[in-house]
Amino acid sequence: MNPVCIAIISNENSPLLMQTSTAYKSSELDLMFLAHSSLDVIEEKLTVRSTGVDQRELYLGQLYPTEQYKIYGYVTNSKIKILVMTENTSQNIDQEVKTLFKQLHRSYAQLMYNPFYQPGDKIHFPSFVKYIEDILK
Amino acid sequence: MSQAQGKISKLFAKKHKSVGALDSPIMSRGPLGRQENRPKVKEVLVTYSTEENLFRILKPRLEAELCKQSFVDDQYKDGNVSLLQCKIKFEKFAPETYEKFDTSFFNHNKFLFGTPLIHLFFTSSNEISWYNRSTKNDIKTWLMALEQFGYDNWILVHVTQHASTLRKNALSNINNVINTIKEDIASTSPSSAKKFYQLTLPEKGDQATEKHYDGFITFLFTTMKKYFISQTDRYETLLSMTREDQDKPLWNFFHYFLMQEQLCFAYEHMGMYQAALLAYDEIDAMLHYLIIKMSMNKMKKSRWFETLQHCCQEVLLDYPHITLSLDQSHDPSLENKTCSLFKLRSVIFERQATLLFILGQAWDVGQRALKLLKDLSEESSSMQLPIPTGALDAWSYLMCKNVLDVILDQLSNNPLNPLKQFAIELTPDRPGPDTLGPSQWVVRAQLWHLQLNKLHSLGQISGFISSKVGTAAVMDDYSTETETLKELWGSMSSNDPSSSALDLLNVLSSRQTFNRAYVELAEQLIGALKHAGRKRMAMHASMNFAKFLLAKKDLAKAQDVLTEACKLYYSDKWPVLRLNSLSLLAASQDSKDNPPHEYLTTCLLLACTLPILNSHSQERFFHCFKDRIDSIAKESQQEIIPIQFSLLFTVNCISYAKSEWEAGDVITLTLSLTNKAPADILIDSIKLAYQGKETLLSPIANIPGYWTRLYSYTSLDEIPKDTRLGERSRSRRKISKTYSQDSSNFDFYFTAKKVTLVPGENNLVLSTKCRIAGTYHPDDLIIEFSSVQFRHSTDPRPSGSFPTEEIEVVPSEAKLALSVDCPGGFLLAGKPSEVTLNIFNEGKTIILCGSTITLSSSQLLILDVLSGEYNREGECYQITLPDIKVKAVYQVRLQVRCDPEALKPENILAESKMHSSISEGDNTMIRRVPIDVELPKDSLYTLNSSPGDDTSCGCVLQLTATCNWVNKKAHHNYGAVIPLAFYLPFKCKYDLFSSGDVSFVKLTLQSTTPLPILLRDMKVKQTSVLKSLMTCDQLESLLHPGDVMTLLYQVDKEFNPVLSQICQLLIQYSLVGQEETILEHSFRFKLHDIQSMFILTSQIELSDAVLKKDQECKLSINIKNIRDLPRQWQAPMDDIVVVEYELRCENGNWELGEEIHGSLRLQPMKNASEDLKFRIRPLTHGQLPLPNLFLTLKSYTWNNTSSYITAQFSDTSSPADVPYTMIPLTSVQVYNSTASMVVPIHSDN
Amino acid sequence: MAKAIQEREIGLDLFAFLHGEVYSFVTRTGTDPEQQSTKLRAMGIRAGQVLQERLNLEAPRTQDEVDIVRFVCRDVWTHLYLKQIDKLRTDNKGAYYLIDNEFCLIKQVSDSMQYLRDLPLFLEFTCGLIQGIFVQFGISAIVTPEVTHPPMCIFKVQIHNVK
Repeated sequence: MNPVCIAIISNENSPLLMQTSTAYKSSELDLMFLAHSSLDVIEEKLTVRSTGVDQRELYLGQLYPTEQYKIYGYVTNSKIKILVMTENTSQNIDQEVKTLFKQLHRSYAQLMYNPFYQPGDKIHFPSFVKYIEDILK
Repeated sequence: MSQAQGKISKLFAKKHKSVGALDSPIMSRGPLGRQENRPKVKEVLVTYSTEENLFRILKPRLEAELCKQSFVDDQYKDGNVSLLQCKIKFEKFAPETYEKFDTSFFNHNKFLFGTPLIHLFFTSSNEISWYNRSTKNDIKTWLMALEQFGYDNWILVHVTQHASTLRKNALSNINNVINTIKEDIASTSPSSAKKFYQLTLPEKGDQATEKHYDGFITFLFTTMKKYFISQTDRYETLLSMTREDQDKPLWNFFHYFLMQEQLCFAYEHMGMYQAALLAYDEIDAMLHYLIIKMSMNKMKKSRWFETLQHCCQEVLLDYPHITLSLDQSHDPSLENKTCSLFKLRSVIFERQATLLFILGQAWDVGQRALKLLKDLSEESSSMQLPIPTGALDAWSYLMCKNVLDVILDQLSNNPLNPLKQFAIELTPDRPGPDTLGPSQWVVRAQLWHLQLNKLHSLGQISGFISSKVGTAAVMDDYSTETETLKELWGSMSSNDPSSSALDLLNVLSSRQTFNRAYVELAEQLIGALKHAGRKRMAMHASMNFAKFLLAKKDLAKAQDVLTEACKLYYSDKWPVLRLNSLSLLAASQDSKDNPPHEYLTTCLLLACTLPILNSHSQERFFHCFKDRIDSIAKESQQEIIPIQFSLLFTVNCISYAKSEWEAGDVITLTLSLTNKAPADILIDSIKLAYQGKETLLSPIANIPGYWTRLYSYTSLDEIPKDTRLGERSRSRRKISKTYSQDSSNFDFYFTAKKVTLVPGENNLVLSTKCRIAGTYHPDDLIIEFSSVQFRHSTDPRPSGSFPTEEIEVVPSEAKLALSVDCPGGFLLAGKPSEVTLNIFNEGKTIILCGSTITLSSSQLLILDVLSGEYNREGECYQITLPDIKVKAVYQVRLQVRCDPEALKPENILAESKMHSSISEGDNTMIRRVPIDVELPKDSLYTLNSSPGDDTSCGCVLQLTATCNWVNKKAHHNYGAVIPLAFYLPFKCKYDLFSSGDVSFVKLTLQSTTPLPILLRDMKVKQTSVLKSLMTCDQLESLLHPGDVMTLLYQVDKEFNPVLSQICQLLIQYSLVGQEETILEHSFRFKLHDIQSMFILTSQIELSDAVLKKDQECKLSINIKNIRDLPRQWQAPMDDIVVVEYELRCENGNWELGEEIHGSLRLQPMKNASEDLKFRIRPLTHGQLPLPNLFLTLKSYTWNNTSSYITAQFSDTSSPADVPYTMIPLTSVQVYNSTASMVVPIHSDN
Repeated sequence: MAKAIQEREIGLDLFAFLHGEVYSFVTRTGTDPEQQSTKLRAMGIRAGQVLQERLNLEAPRTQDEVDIVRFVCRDVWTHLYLKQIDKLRTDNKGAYYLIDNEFCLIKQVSDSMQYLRDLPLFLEFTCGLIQGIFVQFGISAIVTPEVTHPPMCIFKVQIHNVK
């Protein structure tokens, strides 16, 4: 799995952090559009009691298919949405993505401990950004 | 005929009807002429072996009932099993006709239906002896045969009559038989005991037996099913075996596919559609897996793979048509295992779709279509299929279109859709199209989305859409590409004119069609997404759409889309996206025919949004903005564009130098505002307007009279000329709004011109005057430059955005005013008239209860206070005021009178000496007023009745008010000088005439008042002296302003000329409007020297007939005493009257000779006369009056007695020593008889 | 194992001590009690938000407010105070009563009534904490303490609108 883009989105659907891997910097805007539109699906998944997927699961799985990317979603109990976009590969990478999400969520929770971070603000702590970039490398 | 068959034949009927009907989409689809669309009815073999007559009884009912059988089988592939599509075919048991059971016959599709599903053996033997004799053997041989061929799907049935039809003992026999049969079978194999069934034929109307019979049927059915399933299981094991060696070089996917499909068909026939679907999915997955694996060289490419790779040139020939069909025939290419990947794919997909429809999961078809396309593109790319560019796009485009059509057709209750009908018959309670809710819209949207993408890339290929947005498409490569597409489809579309491929073809045929199709599709998509409640996705789609619209210059539509987008991204707080859409919006609005302020606004939004945009692009947008407004300013004649204030500026605060001002002061404030633009702005003007809270019209505004601001005495001499309050309120400033609907004007405003605002915070110091007291709040802030106007008040003002600090402008001081109550508002000299003193509290100086105003009047002004509480000290009145509220007026009524009578008569005389006319006495006396009252000079002036006439007819007196409250700043009291104007009713004149011995007096009245006067009566007091010559005495006449009235009197003869007499004319009049009050005006004048003493007679002595110009002549004047001259005129010593004479010629017509004056000694007695001769010369010609002789009396001042004494004692003393005075004799005393005489003078030739 | 528990208890004691210090500090600095309480509550809310995020790493998605209340009663309480809420009552109009029979932060406060006046202020932090957790769950709730017999202590959670 090689993630292309990671986005953390607040409970009011405004982006807190959005990082794109260097290879895809050119198409950052499109990615952003995709991230934004995938919020729709997330909301659907949260509201509509769709059968099959486990409602108690924070991980929402693949949100919707696009031609280039796969978009995976994860929503914490505090309605913080985390998006991971990967290149469109045929093999199943659910597990890896899941673990990545857990990791991201954990580090976000760590971020909350930062006294200088006010929940709902944009995230621009170099350390955190760096951390995300490393994941994208 | 059975019911099931009935159903099916119905299907046929429909089918046949619908063949002709072209309107059925399913008919029109299917290029390869696949018209079959119905489940084929399979014959299911059932063998029997029994005595014919018995079977003949059973057969029909069996046939009917078996086919009806159907029930859900849960433990097996959750499909429900039925024989609905099956027709039972009974055959006599003939073992040799069936092949032996082995794997070989799986290869052709008879594996299920080639062999009988069940073998039946009926016996009705009811005699144990009979059974043992024949039947027993029959059964044995039958079983033997079955065993030999390996069939265990047999049932042995023992048929008995209904109990009622049997004899008593028969029943027991039958039971014997049955038992023995059971034993026999059991002996052969233990399991087969279950395969015996004891059937009693049902009687009509006997429920028990009917049930019994049904039980039998189900028993049959289950056994058949068991067999069927065991068969399929076998088959599947076989399949898996073949699947094992898939990487063997000879293994062929097509082969495998066909095999598995057999299974699927079998399932379908047994109504196990779910199972069938699963089987197909297996194939699908497997194919994908294999292809990927092989193309990635994880696995050796086998032959079939290559065939797939190679035979796909005419890919578009087998473009997708989902032909929903349960028909199991294949088109040859598949049969002989050479067909393209696309073909294969579409075939598989069709099957899946069909099954899904039957299962009533129409929308899943859509989902699967998407998956298919995704896989397909993946596969084709990994296989590097040699297909022309765009072919795949076209293929998927058509696929989407096609699939959606089919789905909708399925969901629409189209009676001509047999598959649907059939499906409904299978499962009547299937969900309708709309029960799926938004999810179906999602599917639609996804399909449309894909379709749109494909169309987009096709458009790019054919050059309708250039890969870069905005730049015009390149036309040349368009032609070539579509050519290839054309030829690709040419063949196919020829044999199927109504194909959707053709549609795509003419969509791509021209730019217009393409655009139309694109727009239509995009709008569908957006609409669908919105339906599905995916507004953000819709927005994403519409952003792309907007790009397209921009490219094709459909700006209006693009704008609508984009503005919506901006809103959403703003509310979702995705600034980057918002700015992106904004910049597009700007592009869309940047056109001449678009209202400019929109474009400007967008530019500003972009320019002033920090800090996401980098400063460079910010500046770029700001420059766009500036250039635009400049150009507007140039071209259009100065129409001002209003733009939201908050876009470019924010007002931080307004701070005042102090919190309170006095009216008329200069107010100074500091306005701090932020300029959000990245560059300096030179603004033309900034206006900060203030609006008063309450109406400022103070109650005194409508009180007439002169308002005097209370000044401290030190500044007494700067009393304003006109302090009329009305003037003040009129002197409010107004803002002329350059652009505004409401024309509300402001009380005052601050303004500055040509200010440069740097980015960030700016502090402007503004100042202005406010004249009217009140509380003001900033109401409107307007900044203008070039051709735009930023008005703050046009914003929906959010609280706090605009500072609301208020200014308190307090009034300067309290004011006093006198208002005159008489009509015309003027005061008459001599008439007591009432005036009102208004004390108006403007609010600054608190006028406490008990504070006083002291009024003092100038000497000639008689003042009385009529109302209010006051006490008098000499000339001064001290008025005690009550508490006067702010903006309240307190009124004191006064009576003022300027009285001529108050003056002493000698003043008149003195005055009369001063000015040679008594009649002006009144004025002069008043004119003296200022001399003895200390008042500043400028405060006194006369009123002129009419311009040009300098004789005054009224005056201004003054009332001096002093307040006892103190100005805190300059520590002294306040006071005011209030001017009062008095008018005289008339201007009077007096003239004396005499004719020889008779004298006349002429009196002239001229009214000077602004109002007409009604004359009541005019009397001269001294009637003994003066007799009126006119009868106008009693006449009441109206005297209009400026009118003149003349009165003529004769002086009585007996009147002693020596005496002088003061007369008085009494005029009774009243002002028009108040006739009831009769006023008096007295006019005094002095009669003296009224008698003529001498008479002059002058004549010219002519030397010849006519007198010519420049001809010297003699003028002789005769002076004659009319009567004896008075004694005191006579000189002392001798009684002679000495008169100095002088000849004067005012008009200069005559040249007078020498000795024109001298003294003349006259006899005092009557009729004494003297002659004087002068030499004169006329200087012009014409009728000339003669020169006039003036006499001056030389009167010696002495009194008689003493004079005589002195005369006696000093005879020698010369008369010259006697002191004398010269008295000029008036024209009355010297009566010139020839004054009116003229002499004709001729010109000298 | 026992060691771990012991350590946690020490940690709890420290927490209680720190909490007390914070309380006394705030009360000493601010004069206006209103502002004091808001300050404490604000601290609590912030802490609650962090805690919610932290404790929800592994937790399943919460379905409704009852889940959240349960979460507070079990996870949060055990995490902070090494015990669960003893009783949970609710009127079914969106109000929940979390009853802790021996709330450790006021364990030391003798049940004599002398501190009753100050206790609500003392408990502001904890209320804020609970509130913060709700906030983070996207539910606005008002939490008020009710202490009649310390150390028994009731937190009333009034839920306003379920987003």
